Amino acid sequence: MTTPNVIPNRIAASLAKYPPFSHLGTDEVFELASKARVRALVSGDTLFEQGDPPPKDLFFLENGRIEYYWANEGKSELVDVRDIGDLIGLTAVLETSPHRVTASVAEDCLLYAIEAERFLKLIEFNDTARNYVRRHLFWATRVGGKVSVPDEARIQGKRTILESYFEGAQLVKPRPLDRLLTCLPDESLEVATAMMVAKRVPSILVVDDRRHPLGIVTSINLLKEIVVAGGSASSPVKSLISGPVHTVAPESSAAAAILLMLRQRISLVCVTEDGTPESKALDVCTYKDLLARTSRHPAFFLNQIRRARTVSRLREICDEIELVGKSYLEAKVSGILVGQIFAELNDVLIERLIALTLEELADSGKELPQVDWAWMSIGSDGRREQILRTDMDNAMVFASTGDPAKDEAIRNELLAFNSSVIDKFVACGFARCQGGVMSSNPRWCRSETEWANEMAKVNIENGEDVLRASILLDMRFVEGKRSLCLDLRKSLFSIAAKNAFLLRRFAEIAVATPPPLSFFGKFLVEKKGSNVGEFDIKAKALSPLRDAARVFAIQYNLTSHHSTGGRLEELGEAVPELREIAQHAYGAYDFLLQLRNLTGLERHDSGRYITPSKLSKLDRAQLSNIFDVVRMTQQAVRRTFHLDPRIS
Amino acid sequence: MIWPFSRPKDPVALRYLSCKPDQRREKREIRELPIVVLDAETTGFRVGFDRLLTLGLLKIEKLQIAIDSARSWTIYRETSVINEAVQVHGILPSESRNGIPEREVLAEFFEELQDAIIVGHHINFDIAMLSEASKRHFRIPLKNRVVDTGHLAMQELATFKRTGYPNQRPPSLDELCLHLNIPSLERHTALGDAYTTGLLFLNLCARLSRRLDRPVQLGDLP
Repeated sequence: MTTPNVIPNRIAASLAKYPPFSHLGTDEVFELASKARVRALVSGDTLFEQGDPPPKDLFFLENGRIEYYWANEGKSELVDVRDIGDLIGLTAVLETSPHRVTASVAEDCLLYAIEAERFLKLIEFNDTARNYVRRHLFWATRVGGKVSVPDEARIQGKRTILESYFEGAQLVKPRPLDRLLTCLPDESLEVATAMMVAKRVPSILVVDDRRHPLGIVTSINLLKEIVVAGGSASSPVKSLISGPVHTVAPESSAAAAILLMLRQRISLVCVTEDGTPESKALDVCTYKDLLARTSRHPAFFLNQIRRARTVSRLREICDEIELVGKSYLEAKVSGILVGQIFAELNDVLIERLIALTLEELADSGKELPQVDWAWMSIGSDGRREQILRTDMDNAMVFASTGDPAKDEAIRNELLAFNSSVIDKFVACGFARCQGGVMSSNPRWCRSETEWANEMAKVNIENGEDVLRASILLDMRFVEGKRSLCLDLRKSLFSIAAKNAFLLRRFAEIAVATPPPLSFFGKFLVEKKGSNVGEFDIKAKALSPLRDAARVFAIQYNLTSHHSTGGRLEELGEAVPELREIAQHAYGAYDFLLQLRNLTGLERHDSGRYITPSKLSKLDRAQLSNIFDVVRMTQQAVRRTFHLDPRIS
Repeated sequence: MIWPFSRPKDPVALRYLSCKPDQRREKREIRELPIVVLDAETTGFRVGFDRLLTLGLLKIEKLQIAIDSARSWTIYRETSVINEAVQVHGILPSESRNGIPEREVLAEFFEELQDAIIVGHHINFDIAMLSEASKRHFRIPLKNRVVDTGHLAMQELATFKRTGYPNQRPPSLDELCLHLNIPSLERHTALGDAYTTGLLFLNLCARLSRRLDRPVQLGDLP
């Protein structure tokens, strides 16, 4: 007869004191404990090294302390500490990724090694424990912010813009031959220059009589030779050509060509028939040509929009942009980043629409009143968050003449113009703003003094006024007189910052919606209205973060960024005590935007309502982590603006 | 050669004797070698007179104590005296009467042990007791390599270094646990002591390995 084994009992008792084991059943913990192995390490030992393959075991720290060091660029920094009751190696086990840090023993340790597979199987059937583990993962990967950023992107299947761009990268396609500018090596520099000027290209390809490339003469070569060195303009071009021409074949990868140029530090690459210098030259490409030719690159669309002559063509381009946006989002490119790219495109689109409208106006013999004006994007457009063609938010400011009657007349003329622009905007597939936040609305087309007066006189009791003020504070210049808009923004910010009541009201709005988690960490879904069973991420998560970012931006006078992401980044840099929260909030906002956009694409709406039951378990766990961040951010707002109820 | 008076050996003993360790294993790293932590409770301290009461062992694999390898036995004693030793280990005569016979315990023990390295605290006494019992039943002594954590501690810990005083004795398990801050588990039960000794051994090996700046080899141990 063997006596009962007391050791597993003891181990099980220590395990059960700490989550996630405390969520598991006693029998399950005992089972784990009886299969455990015990390890002892003394200070100075290393448990695992950064980059070690994923372990088979998890370690439970029964005694002692372990420090995580992260080695980067030859330096090693302490990123985290694990103490009694912590699980070690969980991240690596869950992600089956190599260890991202080196675990060094700071105090003598007693570790229980638990088979990872057994553990994972156990938590698979225990929701609370799994939730805890996911949460742990969330925090663990965020501690030491910098560590997690590159890896995190990889873990969540995110790719960089560059990667998703390479995936959709296109082939090098030579343009029509008549575009190619060539000359023979005996041609004089004068003639070559004249040809370049006539064709308005910055380089000329020197070829032999069979049109095989010999070298390239660029305008900078010419400037160096003639202007700087004082050389003769009649000397032959062959005196200037240097080195071998780097050639690529047509239909080869544009990305490869770009890499070749980067590696060889050259600005031009020649396309020849078979990719060697011993065949006929077909085209000369610059870096920009190659980039713009890969049709998924934003630069391509930029060019297309600038060249478009009609609204219907613009509409086509917008449709394509939406498709590409979708591919970016599906590749899990950061929502903030995609938002920024598409805001640029949107801006170019508006510029183009305004230019087209101005042309029309000129054709009909009319012209705009002789005042400075600026077209602004406000609201979510202003924050560069609209990726999809949801609705427009824009406004206009014009220089005041000082005479109200005259201002009114100017406004009427501008309104007519703006309506025409907005009609075109609608024709491009954008919806009119239901709240009438459009520059064709007299309430959103005002002179600078009117705007400033309005901001100064915001009635904080009136919800609509406050909303209007907050929308206005998200403004961003698009077209027209830049300084007018920038000055207005600056003055509005300073007016708002001085108005303590308004700030407080903004802060109150930011904390008004508590994170929608029930006492048990479950989501609260809509119980009324047309979206029963769904979940409003805009109101419940995006808005509090957005409002918090705005009110912080006003408080700390952070005006260099327009987007919520940018504001949070700037906040982290400017205010050290809020750095951590700002970083978390940035990550959370990014995730939410992505989620919203993806849902929007799927359902062809704004993506505002999500159905929690349709999310993957991981996304759901992630989402509840994000509400943690929302709560933290709201607490930071409460602290900063002293919103906590005082004991009186 | 076969001695004329030698009786054939018991199969248990033959099997135990047949597993011969590698001759070069003093040079091998201990993480590759089979190690067994051992502790026995006895009726007293007189070898040849006192008897084994309980026996506990744990295996160490790759410098990790494998919890599921724990074995412990209570040995059947028809009559056992209540003496001062009972106050230490608290094994009552009634428990001993529920045990299994010594011969069977030893047979199972040899099965587990084979050629593993035996680690224990003040192990020489336990070995002497076991050898004595083994000779009685199987006419063979224990032949395993033995590591005494008491001596290992004197080698590794400055506090317990050999001083040269004639009456210096190796540190006790309690002293060492206190010194190294090792949680001791159920002192004075065979398995509990074996576990605590195992933790002590792992701790000392880790220290030794840091001092040598290489993995510990068997030859490094006393």
